Amino acid sequence: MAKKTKTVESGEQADLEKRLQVMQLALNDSEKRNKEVNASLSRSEEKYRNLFESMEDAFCIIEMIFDEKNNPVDFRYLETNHAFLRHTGKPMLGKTIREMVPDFEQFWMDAYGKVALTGQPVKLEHIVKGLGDQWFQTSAVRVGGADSRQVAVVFSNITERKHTEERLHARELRQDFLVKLGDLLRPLNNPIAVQKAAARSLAKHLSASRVFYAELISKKGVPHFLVETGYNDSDAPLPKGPFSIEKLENLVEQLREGDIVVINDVNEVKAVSREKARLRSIKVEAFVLVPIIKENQLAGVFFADQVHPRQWKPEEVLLIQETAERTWEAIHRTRAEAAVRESETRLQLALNTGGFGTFMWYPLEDRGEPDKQMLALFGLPEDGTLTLKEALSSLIYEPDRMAYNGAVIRAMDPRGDGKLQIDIRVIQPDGSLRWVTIHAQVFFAGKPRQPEKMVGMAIDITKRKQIEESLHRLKVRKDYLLQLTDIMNPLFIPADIQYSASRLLCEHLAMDRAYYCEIDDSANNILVPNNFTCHGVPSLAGKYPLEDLEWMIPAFRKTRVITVTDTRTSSLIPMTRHAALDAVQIRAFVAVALIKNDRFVAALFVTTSSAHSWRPEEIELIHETAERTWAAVERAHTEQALQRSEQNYRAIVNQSLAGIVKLDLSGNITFANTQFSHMLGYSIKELQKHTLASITHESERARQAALFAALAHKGKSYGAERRFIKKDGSVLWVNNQVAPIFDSVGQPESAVIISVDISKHKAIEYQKDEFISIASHELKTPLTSIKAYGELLGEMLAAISDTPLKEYIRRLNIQIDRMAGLVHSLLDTSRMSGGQLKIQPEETDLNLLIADRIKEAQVISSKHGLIFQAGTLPIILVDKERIGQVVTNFITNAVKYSPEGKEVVITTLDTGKGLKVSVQDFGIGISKDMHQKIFQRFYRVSGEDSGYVSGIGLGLYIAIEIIKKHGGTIGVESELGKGAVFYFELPYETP
Amino acid sequence: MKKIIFVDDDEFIQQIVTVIFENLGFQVIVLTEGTSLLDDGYDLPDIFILDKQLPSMDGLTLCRRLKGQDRTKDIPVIMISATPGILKDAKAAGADDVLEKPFSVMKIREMVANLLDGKGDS
Repeated sequence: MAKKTKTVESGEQADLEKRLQVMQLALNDSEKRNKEVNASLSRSEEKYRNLFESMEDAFCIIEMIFDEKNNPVDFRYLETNHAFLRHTGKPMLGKTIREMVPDFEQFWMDAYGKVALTGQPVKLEHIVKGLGDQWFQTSAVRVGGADSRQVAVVFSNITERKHTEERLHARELRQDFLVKLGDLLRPLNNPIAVQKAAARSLAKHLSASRVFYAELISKKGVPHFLVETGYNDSDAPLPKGPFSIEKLENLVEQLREGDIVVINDVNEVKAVSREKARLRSIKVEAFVLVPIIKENQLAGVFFADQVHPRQWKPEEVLLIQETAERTWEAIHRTRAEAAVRESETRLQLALNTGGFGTFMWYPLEDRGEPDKQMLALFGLPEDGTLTLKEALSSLIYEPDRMAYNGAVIRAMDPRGDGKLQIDIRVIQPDGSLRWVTIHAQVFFAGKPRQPEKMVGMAIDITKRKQIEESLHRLKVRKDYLLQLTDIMNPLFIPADIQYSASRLLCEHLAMDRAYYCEIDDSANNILVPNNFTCHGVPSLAGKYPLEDLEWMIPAFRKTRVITVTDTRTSSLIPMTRHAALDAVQIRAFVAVALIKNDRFVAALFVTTSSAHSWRPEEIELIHETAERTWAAVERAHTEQALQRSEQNYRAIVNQSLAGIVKLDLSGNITFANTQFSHMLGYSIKELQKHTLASITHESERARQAALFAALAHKGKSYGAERRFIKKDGSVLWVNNQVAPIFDSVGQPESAVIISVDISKHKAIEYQKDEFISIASHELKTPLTSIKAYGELLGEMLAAISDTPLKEYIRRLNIQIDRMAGLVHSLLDTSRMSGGQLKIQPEETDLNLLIADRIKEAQVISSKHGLIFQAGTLPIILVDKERIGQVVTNFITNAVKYSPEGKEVVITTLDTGKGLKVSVQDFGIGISKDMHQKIFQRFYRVSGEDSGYVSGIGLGLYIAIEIIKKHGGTIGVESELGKGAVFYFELPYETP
Repeated sequence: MKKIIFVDDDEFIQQIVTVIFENLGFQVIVLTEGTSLLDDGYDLPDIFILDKQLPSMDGLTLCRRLKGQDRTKDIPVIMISATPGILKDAKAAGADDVLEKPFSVMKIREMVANLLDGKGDS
């Protein structure tokens, strides 16, 4: 036996192999492209996932669920990041919101539904009741194309900010009320009017039923409360006239101590047990009683009540208390004024107890008679003098002097009513200013009337003025922040947000430059994308090395805010920087560092070209603006990233050379990329009306359906070569890789097909098969003559014994038969891949057929013992020639791969399901990883051990096709070095 | 002497078939194409051997025509072909047996002998 046989390569065969190589390369290339597409998809996804996870804002992707009328009814969380869990406190992934928060606000549902339907991104601030009344600020943007129902939501919990705002608002309302109350009471000149106005105003503000002021008076030596008037919105009466203080029982002690009595429900309070019936008879169910303590004595009370139980809030109680104080002050002021009109003596008396400054002034001599308190108000010693001249030249704050002088002249006009009322600022010895309100009356005498004297009083209103000012500042600040939010909210580009915020801040503070810079510490850069400047100050937009800020960093670490009043004198600024700062016109600045997660990420600068002493509220405003700008910029970055990721994804999908199709689990096409639409000639819209089955060639639908069902149920992906039907009805060969897409709980929810047009490969394959067919057919004709002559020669020489010629002819004939076999196999193969292999079944005794084939084989391989173990078999309908061919192939292989010439055992068996034929050898064996490959066309075992054998690797390929055509199975059991068992099993009935 | 008419367009196959059967004492008449066999003006053989692929009229049609006319319907026909799997078509056309190229000398001798014997028996 020849150790190594080299196949003679004809010209035609070399050409054939070249074509095969080209074909293989083309196939490899397309596979590589598929891998690249997949890899770049997953890289992009990983990048954005990292980004989302590192975000401080919560991020989620939800899939909206609509009812049949397209009303949003629910949504499911498809993705959430870590921050999401922190903000909501509940893991929601894979759940629907209705499961987790059954009373979820329809407000959000409608908002997200609208985003999903229209693709319009939104930004919202709203409350979520289901999560313990938390406030959320939210941005929502649709992910995917027009029919995507997925919405990406970025949100942060702003509950704390909202509460602060509410508190601020409540404080503001209270201050507002008090200012109005002051304005209301000031012009009133009798105590009853004051009480009435104060009571009414407070009652309206609090929606209280009754409000009144009661003064403590002494009647026959017994303390009584005197109620003169009040506000009453109830159908029960208001207590009127004096009533004994004793009626308040043990509450009196509390009041005397200055403690406020707050009763939310009289039924539940023991303190008023005896009075309960009486209180209820006048429908007092809840009340607040505020003591007014003057000079350590209870001077009166202020009362507010409700005809129903009511939970009084602390700020309401505070307001009642402040109203009480102001009412008392106003009453006493009016009494003082009245007293002024009555008599100087009583005035003096009353005013001394009231703590106001009073004065008498004689205009003709400009002589003033101020009391001690009046002198004190003007910062003068007890024995000082006060004249109009002095007041106007040095005591009154310069800007107020003209107004004061004018008011005095008007009051002294004999045609007028002689009244003077003005607020002025008085300079104190320490240089500070004190607000004083002056009320005075000019008395006229003589004929013609002439101003004789002016009697007046002055009250220190500095405190009130300060409150008014701070309120004003608070309001300005609030307006500014609202404006800032309004400006930034609609912006989606970080640089725009930075610019708008800088501009608003700069204009608000009347500075000449503001800019926001981003620190990129990986590149050691400071980036100023934009800046706002005015008054000809140069722009600082651009990129700078991080060292430029290095000198500020220690200061930032300490305070986060750096304030420089004058760069030339500031100890913070190194001398070396003076010239540079001057060059860009910076003399004073505030810088706010934004340090997030311990990283210096950005800073906001406000600069001005002249020295400036920064007020605390300016610094606070810059700080607040910096924080808000940062938050808005981060949000915009996230949104941009989302959009970019979406665009990337879209580009990858649409520019892919492969067709990409998304299917639901019923096989309906829900998405197709441009390439796939081109491949099949359908528009993308048309494709969405198709199913996988409807575009698949009829003959492949059943197999397709089985594989797709396995994918839908078990998530099993598969690859297959398929014929798709194009719009024009023609056939397109494709290679499909079909993979499931899993939902958040790991169940398949849809599928993706990457489909590559392989029609060119198929055409090449077809040409190749045609070529093989023609070539082998043509080879057969000369071979027929050669074979016949060879056999004739053999017969003729058989008679002559012991001549080498006889042996030569025998060898010649063996090789001619081998060649005939090869040509036969080639032709078979090309016919099989063309689908032309036909089975012609006849009734067959398999044992007889096999015995024949064993006999033939034994002639060629005399070295091996061929042992036949025949089982009892029924007659079966098979293609005799073809099944014989498989048996011969198995035996020939067994002999070929056991070169040591051992036994080959052929067994037949009725398994109950069909007939099984096995051929066992004890040769070199086949390693497990080769088991699949050996049945492939043109596959030959390579490596050292295969050096023994020849062949073109078609035998097993043909065998598998023949057995498949019979509806049977074929296989191998083997291990390297342990021989092999090849078997096939045929069903009783061939389909 | 038994007479064989062999139709094949390949000169060398004509030669070898002639050699095989003349050695056995047959009279072998070779033709390159077979339409003339449907005429009346020739002496009938004991057996026809036809290649499937022939110029002008292919072997299967020729076989069907021969089997379709009284004069030749009882004469056995062997169809030979380089294309495998024509058994069904050949039988449908009335061929008595089918032989695939390249055939062995033994096989064609056997086939002819069987058909002539069978005819002798009937």
